[in-house]
Amino acid sequence: MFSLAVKLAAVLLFGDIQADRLSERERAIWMHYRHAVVTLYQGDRATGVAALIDDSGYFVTHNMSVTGTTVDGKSLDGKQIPFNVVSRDSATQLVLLKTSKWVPGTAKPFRMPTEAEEEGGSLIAVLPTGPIRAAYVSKNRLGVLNPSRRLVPLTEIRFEASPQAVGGALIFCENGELIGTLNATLERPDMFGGNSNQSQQGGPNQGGIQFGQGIIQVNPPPSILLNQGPAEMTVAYTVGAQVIQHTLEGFLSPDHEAAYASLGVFCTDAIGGGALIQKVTPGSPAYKSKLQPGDVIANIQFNEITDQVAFARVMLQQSVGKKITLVIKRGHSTLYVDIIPAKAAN
Amino acid sequence: MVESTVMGYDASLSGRMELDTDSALVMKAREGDFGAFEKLFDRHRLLVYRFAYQMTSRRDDAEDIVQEAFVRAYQNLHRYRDEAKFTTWLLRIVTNLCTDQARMQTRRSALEQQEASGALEWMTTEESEDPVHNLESERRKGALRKALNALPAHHKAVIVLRDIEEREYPEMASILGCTVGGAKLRVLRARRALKDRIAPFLGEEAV
Amino acid sequence: MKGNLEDRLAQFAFGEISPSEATELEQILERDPEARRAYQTYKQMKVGLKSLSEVPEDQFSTERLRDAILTQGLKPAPIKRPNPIVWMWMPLAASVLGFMMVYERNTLFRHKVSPQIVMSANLSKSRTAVAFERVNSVDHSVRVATTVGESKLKNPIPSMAVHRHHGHRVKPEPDTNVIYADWEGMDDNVTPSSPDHGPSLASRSMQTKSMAASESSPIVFIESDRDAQTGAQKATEVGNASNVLVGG
Repeated sequence: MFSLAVKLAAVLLFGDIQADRLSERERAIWMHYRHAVVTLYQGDRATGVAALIDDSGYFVTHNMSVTGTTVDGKSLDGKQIPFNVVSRDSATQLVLLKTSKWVPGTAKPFRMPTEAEEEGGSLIAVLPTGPIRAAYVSKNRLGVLNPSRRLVPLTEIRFEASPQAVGGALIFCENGELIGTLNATLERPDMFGGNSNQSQQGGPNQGGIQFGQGIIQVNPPPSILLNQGPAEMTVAYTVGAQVIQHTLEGFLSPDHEAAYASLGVFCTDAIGGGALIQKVTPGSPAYKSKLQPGDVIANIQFNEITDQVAFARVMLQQSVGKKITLVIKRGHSTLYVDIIPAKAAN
Repeated sequence: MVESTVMGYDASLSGRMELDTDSALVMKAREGDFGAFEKLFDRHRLLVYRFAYQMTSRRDDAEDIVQEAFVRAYQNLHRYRDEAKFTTWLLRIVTNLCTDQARMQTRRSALEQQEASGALEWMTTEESEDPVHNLESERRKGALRKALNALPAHHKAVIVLRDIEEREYPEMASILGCTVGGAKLRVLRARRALKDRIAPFLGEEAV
Repeated sequence: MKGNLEDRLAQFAFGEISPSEATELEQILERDPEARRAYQTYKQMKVGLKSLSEVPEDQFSTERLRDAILTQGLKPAPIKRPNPIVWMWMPLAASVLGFMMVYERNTLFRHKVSPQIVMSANLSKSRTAVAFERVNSVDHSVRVATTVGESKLKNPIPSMAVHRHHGHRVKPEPDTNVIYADWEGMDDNVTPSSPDHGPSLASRSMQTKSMAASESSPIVFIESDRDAQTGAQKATEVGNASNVLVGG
């Protein structure tokens, strides 16, 4: 009964109020593209949104919006649309959905993202509850996905609002390019609350050391690293355009999956340039080609590798199954190694 | 209750002096006494300004940040809790503002950036008598200022807080929202980043 | 030179070290010229930074602040005590809270609008609880204990997603003796790179050039666990990219 009340409130409010947060122009853009958006449900609870990428009925959504192999969707004009999960990509967290109930021509599919976005430009983020405004900050961020340690370019966006449930939101820009699905948000320090840990623990000295008048947690969880997040702004990341594009292309290929080339190594920066192999995964192409920890990857298929970032970037451009040549420095020797990248583990 | 700055009260004086602690002023300001907030502003604006200036190297930018910081403080007075020092709270606001600003900055022209990072609107003169030494230390200071400005905001902020404004680590932890150990680590990392940038300028003494 | 030693020398130069450690470091300085150079640089940095502390006078007036605040019609939001009787009417109160919280989150609650519009007794309580939420999003046990009222109102997606995600979690590949970036949050004195490959002083400046691009924007780590408020995975920024372990 309670949840019904909240939902009623939500329906009453979100439908209008969130659309109201967009400017005239943004609202017009939303109106133009909203038919290509379907809300996903688990039971009667909205779990996410899916975006049309191909008029034959292929949609993408974020991994957190769907468990299992099927999911129910409802278009914004109320039509029931059932989906099957076709494929999941772990790098981008995108999931490919297919429905047979899609009528071609109903809406214009979203387009692949290009790198040409304007920094500072406005974007629209679609939540299950409706669209809100987001701003594009930067495409020059680098991210490392834990635990696979995959390095991917990130697109940074911000919401000028207190945090809300934006996880999995679909982000698109005004010309209909799908920027991505919102993968992560930056942790925020508690800007205005002082150290509220003490209130939580029911007294000043539980689990904390006292300094002056405040309490500092002695053993915070490891995820409190460099808390740089702003407080009245939510900073969020989607995987970068290049990777999203690769994934979408893979989704729409006959195999319906996105394959990322992987050698099966973990690297750090090598002193003097290159990517220093720290670990070789057993059974991987690198393992089979007898690469060793301590080897330095200096060149991949005529691309100079200056550091681990270059390594990750160049690998993003390679294809699974297509042979490439590596230049490896081992001690004082230089080796030329042919290797066939395999599919990165999903 | 934290008392940060307490104005002196001398009972023997015929005139009355204000005995308001920061917390007392905050409470008054919350109830609508803008004069109380102005007093807080008077007391602490230099602190905020100094930090903002170190972060931006431009007086007008710094003044804008001071304004924004106090506006934010004003709007959020109801969220300020007495367990933290008011100055810590303020510094947290302005630190976030400065790093937010760095984040929000769209592409600036190369020229603008150069100007910003090299901006030396003023030069303090060295007390030393030796003209050669003067020149050398001026040059180094200029180089250090440039190197500091070239640091990313999250490094610059901790260097300013710790090595220029000399805040203690527990306070820094509170400002940054991390542990004392985390604050120390951040400072070390920032110093290293700065050292990497400045080493070439320090002549033979470095590498 | 190991990163650990350099950090300690930095601390020494900045006067942040205990007397016993100082003695130890002095001995190292006597026999290690590279360490001496690093120490000297840090000492110069310390002096130089202190000399930067002079700032030009500001010209900020109280009038300007007053203008900024008062003419924009801002008033500080008053604190109201929540009415305890409200809680007796749990379902209704909770749905009102939900309404207000939802409304608050989506109204233009920003600088330029007087916060009084959305303030209510219920709301101030819920907002305080929300603030607790924010801080304790990483500590689930605490959150559950103290925000019982709130937890009903929260969008259940995040917690579901967390469970969901545990199911999908991929077992980490790298073995634990390869040190990578997790050390940065916790331990003051952990070596940032594995012992055999610690960059020497000379090569660090060489590395600086190749890493210039990545230094200017910090690397972002995306964890598999989720932020309770946003439902998205947690991201944290790490300053120095050079010793991150990258898979490919």
